[in-house]
This record gives sequence, structure tokens and C-alpha cells, in this order.
Amino acid sequence: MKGLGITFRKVVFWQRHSILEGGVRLIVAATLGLSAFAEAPPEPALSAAEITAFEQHIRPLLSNSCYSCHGAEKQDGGIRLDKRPDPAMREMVPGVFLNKMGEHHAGVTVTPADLDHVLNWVSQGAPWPKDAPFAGLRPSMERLVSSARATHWSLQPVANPPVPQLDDAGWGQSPIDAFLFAAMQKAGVAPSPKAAKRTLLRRVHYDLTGLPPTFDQIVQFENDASPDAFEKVVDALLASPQFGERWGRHWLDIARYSDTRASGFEDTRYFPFSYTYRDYVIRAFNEDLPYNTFLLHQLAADQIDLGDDKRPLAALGFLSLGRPGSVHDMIDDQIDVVSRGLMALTVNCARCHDHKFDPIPTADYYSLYGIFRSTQAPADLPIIEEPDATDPEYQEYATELAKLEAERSRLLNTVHEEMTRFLRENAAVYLQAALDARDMDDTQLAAEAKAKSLRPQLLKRWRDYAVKAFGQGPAVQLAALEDGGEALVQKAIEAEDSPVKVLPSELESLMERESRLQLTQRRLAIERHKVTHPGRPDHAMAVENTPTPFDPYVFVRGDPGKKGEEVPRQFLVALSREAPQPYTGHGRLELAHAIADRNNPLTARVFVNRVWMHLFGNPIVATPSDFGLQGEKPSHPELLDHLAWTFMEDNWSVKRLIRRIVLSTAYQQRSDEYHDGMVVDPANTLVWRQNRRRLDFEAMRDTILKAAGNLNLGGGGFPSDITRVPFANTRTVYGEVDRENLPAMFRIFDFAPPSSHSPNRFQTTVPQQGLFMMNSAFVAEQSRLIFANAGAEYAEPADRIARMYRAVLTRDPLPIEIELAKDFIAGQDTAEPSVPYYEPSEWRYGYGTLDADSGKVTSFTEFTHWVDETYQGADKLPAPSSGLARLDRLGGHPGGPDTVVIRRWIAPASASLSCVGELHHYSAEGDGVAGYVVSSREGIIWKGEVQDGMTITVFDGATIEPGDTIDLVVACKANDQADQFRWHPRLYLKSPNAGKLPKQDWLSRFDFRGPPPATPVPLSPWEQYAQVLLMSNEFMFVD
Amino acid sequence: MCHDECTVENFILSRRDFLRRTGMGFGALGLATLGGVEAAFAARASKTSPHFAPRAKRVIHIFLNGGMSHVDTFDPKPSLEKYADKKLPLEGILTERPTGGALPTPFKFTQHGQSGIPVSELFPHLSQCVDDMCVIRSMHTDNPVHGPSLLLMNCGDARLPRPSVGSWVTYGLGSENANLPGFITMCPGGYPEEESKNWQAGFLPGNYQGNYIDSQHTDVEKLIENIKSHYTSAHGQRRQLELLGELNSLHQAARQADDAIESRIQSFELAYRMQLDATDAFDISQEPEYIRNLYGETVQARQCLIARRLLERGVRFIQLWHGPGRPWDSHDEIDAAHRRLCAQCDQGIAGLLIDLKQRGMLDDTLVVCVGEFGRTPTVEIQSVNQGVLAAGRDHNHYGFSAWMAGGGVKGGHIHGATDEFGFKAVEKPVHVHDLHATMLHLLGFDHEELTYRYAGRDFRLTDVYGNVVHDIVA
Repeated sequence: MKGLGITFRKVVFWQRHSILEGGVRLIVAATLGLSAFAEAPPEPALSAAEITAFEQHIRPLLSNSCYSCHGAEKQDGGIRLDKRPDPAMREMVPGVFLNKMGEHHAGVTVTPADLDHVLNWVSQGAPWPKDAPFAGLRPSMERLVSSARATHWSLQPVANPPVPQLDDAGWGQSPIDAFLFAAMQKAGVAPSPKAAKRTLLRRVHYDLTGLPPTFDQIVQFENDASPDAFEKVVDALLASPQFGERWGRHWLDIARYSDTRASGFEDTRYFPFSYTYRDYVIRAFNEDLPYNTFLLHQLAADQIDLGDDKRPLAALGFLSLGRPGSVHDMIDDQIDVVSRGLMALTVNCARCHDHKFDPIPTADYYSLYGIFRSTQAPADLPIIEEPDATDPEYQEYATELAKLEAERSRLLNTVHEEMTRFLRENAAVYLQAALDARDMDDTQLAAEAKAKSLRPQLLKRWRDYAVKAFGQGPAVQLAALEDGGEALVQKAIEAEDSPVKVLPSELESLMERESRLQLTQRRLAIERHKVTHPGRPDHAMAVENTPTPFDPYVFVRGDPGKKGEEVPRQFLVALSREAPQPYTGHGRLELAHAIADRNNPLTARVFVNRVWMHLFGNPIVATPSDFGLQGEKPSHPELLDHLAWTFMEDNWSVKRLIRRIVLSTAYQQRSDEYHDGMVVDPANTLVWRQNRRRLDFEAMRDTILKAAGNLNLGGGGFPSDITRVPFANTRTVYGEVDRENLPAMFRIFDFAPPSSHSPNRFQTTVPQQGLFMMNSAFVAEQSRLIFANAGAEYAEPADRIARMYRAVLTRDPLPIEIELAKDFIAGQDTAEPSVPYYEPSEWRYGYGTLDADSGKVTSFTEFTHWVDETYQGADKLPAPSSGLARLDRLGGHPGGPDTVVIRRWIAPASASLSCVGELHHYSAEGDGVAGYVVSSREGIIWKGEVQDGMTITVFDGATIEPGDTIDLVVACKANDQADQFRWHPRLYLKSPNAGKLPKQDWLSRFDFRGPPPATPVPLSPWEQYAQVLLMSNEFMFVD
Repeated sequence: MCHDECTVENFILSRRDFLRRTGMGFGALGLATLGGVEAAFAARASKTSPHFAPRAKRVIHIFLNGGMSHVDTFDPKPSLEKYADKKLPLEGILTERPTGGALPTPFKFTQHGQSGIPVSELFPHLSQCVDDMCVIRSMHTDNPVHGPSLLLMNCGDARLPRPSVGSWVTYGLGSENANLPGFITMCPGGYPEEESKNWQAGFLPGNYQGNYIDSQHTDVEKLIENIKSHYTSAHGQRRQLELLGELNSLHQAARQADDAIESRIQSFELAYRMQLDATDAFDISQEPEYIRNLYGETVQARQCLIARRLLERGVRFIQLWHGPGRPWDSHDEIDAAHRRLCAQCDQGIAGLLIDLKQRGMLDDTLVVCVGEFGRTPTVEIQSVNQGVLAAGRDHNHYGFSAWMAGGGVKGGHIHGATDEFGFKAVEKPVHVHDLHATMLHLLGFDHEELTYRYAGRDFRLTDVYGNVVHDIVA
């Protein structure tokens, strides 16, 4: 009866203190505005008893009764009770149970005991543990958000400012010109006159396509007196495929595009289909895909209806081609590329605490984190273009793939069967060991397994079962039981959670190293096949939503182990006019829409600013990836808005945006005017002239190829390594970008570092650039071609010189330049160029015969051909003398039934030699290979056979004297099919005085290299002359 | 000197300043022409001339990659004998892999020099230099895994792409010789684990990245790309450059002065000279025999000698890795493995210290020798599935040793201590960030002031951490 009395008092309490209407008003306020958060007085911290009471009685009740309509999935009336609600809302909870909250709550029932708990809880002020939902911004951050929203320029809506009406309209016709001219007039600076026609043509060709015009195009343009001559050129350039290659590359800087994933093993070094993203980007620019759609594709192509054309799925490479690392760091990289790249906000600064300067609370970071954490790589990458099933190359691809996959599942099945049989047969032994090990930690367990020669993973599995089935009960000796423990063993085998019942998903973690290696090799073989076979269909590096979205919470000081407040998946608060609406789903599509939104104040401004930067050399906002409070303010805010506004009005058309800018008078100014503008505004902030620019890496390399008549305008698809001989002649944008080990050539010419988003390129001047132009094989090769193309039919040197000028500098030479050229060509080198040094190596690569009985290599012939980084006996295999024999850095293939392949090492000193390595062979076909290490002194010192697996090569202390050979021999067995192997052992000297020798360690794969290159033919004076033209400043700078 | 405001007066520069400006260590002027205004902004935001008088002008960073065992080299722990094969009375220390009882060192320690610093028999040569060395016995780091620890030790951050110590130093000090890169990193036979990330420039301009050189080669062409021409003789190149000069002045005559054009003209002359300078620097056959004998014959010794020649020519920061992968990672047979490793590098490193000293260069050259972490005083338990070899040590990030010499560091000094068994740094612990702060301090920089503005904030090598270890500064 006492209880009832209390209950009654509490009901009265509730009725007095909770006025329904007032509660609703408060709730509405809480869901609409941030202000409600701030007004709520801070709640005192909960005592441990209060927390326990809440978690024991209140949360379960809410979960059972309320969450189906007011939880994570559904929020009827905007009310959500799985997160910590406003106190006023909490006070309303009893009303539901007292049937005071309307018809739709009629079905909610409660036991008297629970009602008592609820009322008791409310009477204590409805304490709700604080680690529940996001309680609001810190007051200082909240002030920053509201003041920045009210005043910071980049967060204001994009306006359509009136175009200045100038009295003195003597210059320029476009609105762009009017904005610029107004500012110039105010500063008292005059614009520059229009550039000469050839200068202008060269400039616009580079800006729009990254390539120079030809001599003939310049002549034609100079002779075209029609008023729309320039316009025609611009339209032609915008329509050319080279436009997308140029502007696509600009975008790839933003997107930190790379073809390689990580350092390390060859098999995982490359992204399988990175290039489909690159090609998508190029196509998007060429097809003038509206910029907002372009963004939607890159953030959420998998979430929108694409119709039949699945190619835009490749756009998701924007998210997936980042740096590898922990899940947190990969998401950090995604947040960075999205926020700085698309909105010029440095959200990443808020990873560990609220942003120091910008209105970005750390909660914002984790709101985005939650969205990207709800995204994953699909198990199978989607094919973006259905392959032509009749294409024989594709058929070969598909057949082989099916075979590889069948092999893999066959292997899995076998391992599964063996595992189950093993577990059953040894159940008694393991059960006993597990019973004994019930109180051991994992380290002890591992030691125990070792001591008893049991497999640790399996013992752990049995131990977990034993703990569950027997608890920490008394010791059990199976042998001492009446039936020898048979019943217990049988029970364990048949139990629902029996350790002998292995799920396919558990298999890999339980199998032994040998099987795991086999399986890994199978998986890698499938991946390799999918990526490298010429008949492969292109796949998108897509992403997809996780099965259930991740509910984010703040990582205190960025530490994933320290759980802070829960935050919703939602958009940034500074960019939401009202409080951001939490996303109920995964949120990525919503995020994409919020970024590609006309009302987003940043998206269009950021993009037009970048476009301006590429067309003028300087952006309007000097910090193109930071529009925050610490960033620079726009030099021409109204012009920026005008560009952004018209860009969006014009259906986000990039081509028409660029067209408007390059047709402006401002764009067409001279770059080398030096009037009083130089004094007033030497940095040219007012754009009173164009800026002279230096060719970037891509434009430079492409122009050299073009000057040599050697530029291949095709391209796309798999990237080519442009640093190696024979030099690829496609455009640089199609060259391989190696994030981890960016070649020196890219670095010295200021290529955008692909490790993270690049706002703009540096421009440095270092002597290594000169060395590349003077000494590289690439430039020498192109110089020869320039001369070769200059027409042997011209007897007169002046004609040839003119031809070379036209090819390289797209003009005719001046008389003095012809004189200089003639003088140079008449001169002679008085010395020979140096010959490349080929360092002697201890290694030789060849084939031969082995007499296994006598343990002697009976013949050895060095390979004569070097194809694709591989030594072999002919350009195409099989070779007449050596069959399929070949060797590369990692392994190779034996020649045939009687022909072995030999990696030979010649001892440089007297010492004791050791060796360690692994001989791998992975194919269920054929009968495997046999490996031998044969010493010329001691005969066979190691041998091993392997089929579909690995065997360790190891020996210790072989005696060697200078000149002895150690042959790493691989032979076919009875069958010479599927004998590809991998074997790159390390040889090292072990004797005590070996430390004194210059080299003691030979890693065969590091030491591997090709045969000595042919001695290069020196350049003739004519060719040297062509090279000088390539080195000239006129070639490298665009006025 | 080279970080002044970009004014007309500063266009008239001494040749040396000009070289600095156009070479690896260009300053504000170079930065202002980066084409990137964020970079120009960065130049304003950072303070890149030394903040106070530097004690060291250049650095040699010797990296024992894989992790040297301190209890076998510089940190003797006799108590391990008592606990041989027994569990140490320590709680709460988790290692990367399971370890068992104590593993006493198989090596004999002897006190050396006037300072009496004990060094094990593994370093018979280096131990003769202890009076110039400061042994830090209380290093510790955050993580027992190679990758993150390498990156933390090299770049001050275990995960994210950040500039390496060498990049920061060259950014701060520039190079004294524009004919050579300012930051050179050598590793014989291939890349260490984490590869070029260890010497990355991060968000700094690309030319502050370490220039990797595979020092197993003796050929300068393997060392610096395009350093020689095989198509045109030096005489022919001279003729080419004369012609280029004529053509460029015709081009220039039609235009007003422009420092981008100007510096490109100069850069070809620099490139031409670099061909000779660099070839020369790497040619150790020019050294007298007694000097070559001082260093010894191994690849590790050779790279020490090359390093000295590079330092003499004004290279700012040189990193010497022991070998590809992680050679010092002695999980098995510490006895044999460490014997072999020390034999490879001992004489070379000692030779370098002696040679620097006899040339008067040790005073202003900072030598730092460190690995990514140390090794456990306990024996590693090999997991059942691996081939079992005994008597190795696992990774230990709780405590390990590093040493420094020259460049304003106290010689013959021991700083800090690990616990009785060498597991954990307990006395005057020095974190990796502290080591970095101290290195920058010796080079004349306040580590909190050497910053670079990137992605909206000022970054430092030491992030928000680091204290200068004043105790080791002479």
C-alpha cells in the first residue's frame, strides 16, 4: 500500500509540473534551433546510482515501448528517445504510460512496477546519463558559428551583384571586365592592351588544352580578320578531346589521384582500376557534365538512379582512391578531400577538438565521419560497361576467371573438410586440453598449445567452448570417467555451438599457414587476372553503403578509444541555415545533395575560383582550399559572386564558364606591360595585366613530344610508366602516378603530391630540372626526332633551321637566330660523351642442364633477350633453344623437360655462405617444380619440390672461394605445364670476418637488373641544337 | 638572410644568396613565386630563419632500422642474469608478440674513455669515441609496430603524411650548396620499410623531400638521376649553354626583368656545375688510403665516408639507413644477428666521428643515431606455426637507447635510465617529440616557432608536443 501512495503523489507531481502545451512548444524549439540547446541550464552530473537506475529500469522500458516510433529508424513527430532528449520531453514520458498522450499511444502498456520507476525517475528531475546524445556546442563555438554565419563572407549566400555601370566604358565588354575595370579605376591603374594574336593563341591553347598551337594554326589565326576569329578558336578548343585531358588533370590534383595504393608487395601495390576514375573525369569535362551532377556522381553515384549507363560509378574513385591506412585515417582523408576540395573548409582541423578559428565544431567532423564510416568497398567491384560476350579476348578472360574461381572454392572445400575431420578425430584430445585450460589467458594458452603440440587457434576454440559448457567448474579428467569421457566428447561434437562446426567465414582464421598461403595466392591470382588480362572488363572503384549505418560519436582528442558525445550523421552546422537535420539513413547521398546545392554558399565559389586560377595564374581568393576565417579574402568579392551566380544559373556548365572568362578583355591582355601598375600593384591583384606562366610538368612533357612530332593523342585505360624506356608517347595525364614513390621527374617539376588534396602547384626552380633537359634519355630521343623531322630534303641549313623553329617554337626564326644556329652547327664537339657505367654484378641469368645424379650443372647459357623486365631466350616464347625459360625479379619459369632455368651467383671472396628464401609454386595444374641450389664446389646443397604451395630454402655455412658459382636451379618435373614459380632468396656471408667485406648480403630481387644498355650514340650538332630550342625560356614560358 | 621581404633592393643579391634562393633552400622570394598564394602566405606565417644562435649547422641521422637492442649495446642490465629464463617482476607491459623470461645479454660490457660509459663488445671501434657521445638511455615511443614508429621517428606523426625531420631542417636552413640537394638519404640495396614516406616532404614543396640514393652502387649515375650526359660531351654542353644564353637574352630583351625567367637561366648553369660537383662528392677514390682504412670496407662504411664528403660540400641533412627492409629486427638469435649488424657498421660510424673531429667539423655537425624503437630484455616466444629459432628479442617501445654526438651535445654523458631490466624508460624519459625538439633547438630553432601554414593551420614537426632536453646540451 505504501507503494501506491508514493505513486499517487508522483502522479500529482507530474501533473502539476508538466503542462502539456508548454512541453510541446519546447520540443519544437529543441528540434528546430540550436538556441534551445544553449538556453537549457547545464544539468548536474549523474551519480552512479542514478545512472544504474536509468540503465536498469528506464532505458529498457523506452526501448521496448517507444523506439519503434521514436528511435533511430523512425522519429514520429520529430521525437527521438534513443538519444538523450530535452528535459521537458523527458517529463512527458509518464503521460504516455498514463494514457494522456492521445489515441495513437493507446496501445502502450506498462506494468505498475515500471510505471513506478518512471514516475520516480521524473520526480528526481528525469536524469539522463550524459554520454548519450550530443548535448550541444560549447558556448564559444556556438557564438563563433552564429557570428560567422552572419558575417563571414564565404558563408553568405551567393548574390547576383549588379554589374558596375561605368561612365568611361572604354575597356572591355563583358561583366567580368566591368567588375575588374571598376576596381582598377578606383585604384588608379590602367589595364593593359590586348596581347598580340600569336601570344593570345598560344596562351589560350595551353590554358584550354595544355598543348601549344601549331605553326599553321597561328598563321591561320593571324590571317583571320573576322571579328569572331578568337571566339571560333575558343569553341574549337573547348570541343576538342584535349580539353578534358587538361582540365581533368586539374581536377585530379584536387582529388589526390594515384594509381598505386601502398608501398610494399607487388601484388597489392596498384589500385586495380584507378584509371576508370581518371577516364571518367576526363570524359565529364569533355561532355560538359554539369558540375553539380559531377559532384553527385563522385560522392554518391551508387545511390542515384543512373539508368543504363553505369560508367558514372567510376566517379566514386574520388572517395576510394585515397591513402591506405587505418579506417580512421582513410576517413580523415575522405573528409579532407571532400571538405577542402569541394568547399575549401578545413574540417580536418576539428578531428581532435573544435576548430581553432573556423565555425567547425569537432561534432561536425564526426558527423561526416559517421557518413563515411557507413560506406564500404564492395566485395566485388561493379563492371561499368557490359563486355562484348563475342569478343574472343573477353571469352578467354571469362573462361580463365571461372577456372581460377573454381580452383579457389575447391581449395576452400578441401580445407573445410580436412578441418572438420581433424576437429572430430581429435576432439577428445582437444576437449581435455581445453578443460585444463579454462582459466588461462591467451598468452598462456599459446604456450600450452606449444607444449602439447596442439594447434593454438583450435585449442582456443575448444577452450571457449569448455568455458561455456562447463564454466569454471572442478577439473575434469575424461579418462577417469566411466565411459572414458566419450559421452562428453560426443556431446561436444553434436552441440549447437560445437567447436567442430566451422563456418566458412571462420575458416581462414583457423587454417594453418600453409593453407592460408595457398588461399592467399589463389585470391591474388584472381585479382591479378581481373586487373591484367587484356580482355578484362573495366570496373569502377566504387563504394557502397554498409548494411547498417554507423552511429558516430566524438573521439575525445581524436582518440578512437575514447568515446565522447554521440553526434548525428548530418551536414556542417555553419552551412545549415537552421540547425542541421540529422540524416536518418546513411547520409552520403544527402551530403552529396547538400554540397551540390545551389544554396551552398561555398561549392560554386570554390570551383569558379579554381577555374580563374588556372586561367590567370592567380586566384581571386588567394587560398583556394581555405575559405575560412584564416583564409584570404577575395580580391574581387563581387566578381567572384558574379562568376558563381552565372555559373549556377547556366546549369553549372564548366565549358561555358571558361568560355565567358577567356572571351573577356581582361583575359586577353598583354602579360608584359610595365606601366604604373607595377608601382601601385606589383602583385597584379587588380588583374591589370595577364600573368606570364611557366609550363607545368604535363604541358612541358606533352609539348616536347609534340615538337618531336611524336605525341600520341590517344590514351586512356591502363596507365603507362612514362619514366622508362621505351618512352610512352601518350599524354602525361595517362602516365602512372605512383603515390608512394613518386619518381624524381615528377617531383622536380612540381607535380601535385598525390598523398593528399593539392590546392595549387608549387613552382620551384632547381638545377635538377636543368639536368633533366640536358641529360635525360627522353629529351635526347625527342631532340633526334626534331632534327629527323626537319626534312633531309632541304639542302639549305636555313630551311632546316626554320623547320625546327616552327616545330619547337611555332614561329619562323629571326635572321640573327639563323646566324647563331649556323655558327653552332658548324662547330664540333672536341670530346666524346661519357659512356654509361655498368656496375659489375655477381649475378648471371640463364638456362642450361642439370645432372641431378652427379649434382652438377652440365651447361649454362646466359639469356640473350630482355623483354618487359624479364630475361628470356627470344622476343616471343617459347624460344627455340630455351623453351619457356625465363627469369624476372621475383621468379620465373623453367624451360622444358630437359631445360632448367638458372639464377647464377659468382662468389667474390672466400667465405661461408648462407641462404634463406621461399620457393613458391601455385597451381593445382601440372605437377609442380623442383628447385636446387648447386655449388660448383660442393654439388647440390639444397633441393626441394613444391606443387601448389611453398617450401623454405635454407642452408648454412657452404664454403665458397672466389669464382665459385652458386646456381639457383629450377626444373620441371615430369610435366612442363603451369610451372611458373617465385623464388628470390637472399644469400649472405656468415663468417666472422665477413663484416669487413664490401658486400655481405645479396637480395636477389633487389640486385636484379637488366643487361648493360647499348652505348648511346652521341647527338650530332644539329640534334644538340634542337635540344637547345627545347631548353629555351621561350619554349617554357607562356606570355 | 634569404628570408627577407620581397623588395626591389633584395633583387640585388650576392651570388651565394642567389644560389640559396634558386637552389634547394630558396626563401621568401622563391616561395612568393610558387604560383601558389597559399605558399606565399605560408612564407609569411612561418619563421624560417634560425631563432637563436645554432650550435649545429648540419645533421647526420644514422638510422638502425628494425630496432637495435639497447640491453646488448648501450644499456647494461646485470639483473637480467638473476632472472635468466624467469618471468620479470614487472606488470602491465604488453609487447607486440608474446615474450617469456629474461634473456641476459650474451655480450660483454666494458667501460670506455674518460667518461667510463659502458659499451658492449659489439662496438669495438665506436666505444673508443664515447667521450664525444651522449647516450640517451631513456628514449620511448608510442607504438611497438615498425611502420608507425618509423614514421613517428622520421616525420613526427605515426600515420598522416607529414614532412620528415630532414625536410623541416632544409626548409628552415636551406642548403649551403645549390649544386647539390640539401637533404640526401642513403640506404644500401633498396628501401627501408615505409619506403620514401620516411623522407617525404609532406605538404612542404617537393624539393624538400630527401633525395634517395642507393648507396650500394658506386656509380654516381645510380645516385643522382641524369647527373651525366651520354649524348653530349662537357665541351658540347658548354657550347649548348652558350647558345642557350644567346637565345634567352634575345627572348629576355623583348621583356622586362622577371625573376622566374632569370632564375631559370641560372639554373642551367647550376645544373652544369652540379654534374662535376656531385660526381666529385661521391667519388671516394679521391680519399687517401688511410682515410678509407679508417672507415673500413663495408657498404655502411662507404656511405659514412660519402656522407662526410657531402657535409663538407654543404649538404644540410644526411640520413644513413643500415639496409633495406628492417635489418636490425632481430627476433631470432640476437647473438649472431647483432654481431653481424654491428660488424657491418661499427667501424664506419666510428670512422665518421673521428674524421669529423679531426677536421674540426664535429663541433657544428649533429650526429644522431637511433632506431624506431628498442628490443625487449625478455626472450620472444615464437608462435607455434613459425619455424622456431631461439634467443631473439621482440620490439620494445617503452624504453630504448639513442646516442648523439657533436653539434652542441654534451660528450661523455649518459642521460636518463630504464628500469632495472631495461624494459621501460623511468628516469628523465625522452619521447620522440622531445628528441625532435632538441634537434631543432641545436640547429637554432624553437620547435614551436618553426611552422608551416597548410590546410588552415600552422603545422610543426612536433605537433603539439615536445620539450627540449636541456640536460644534454653542452
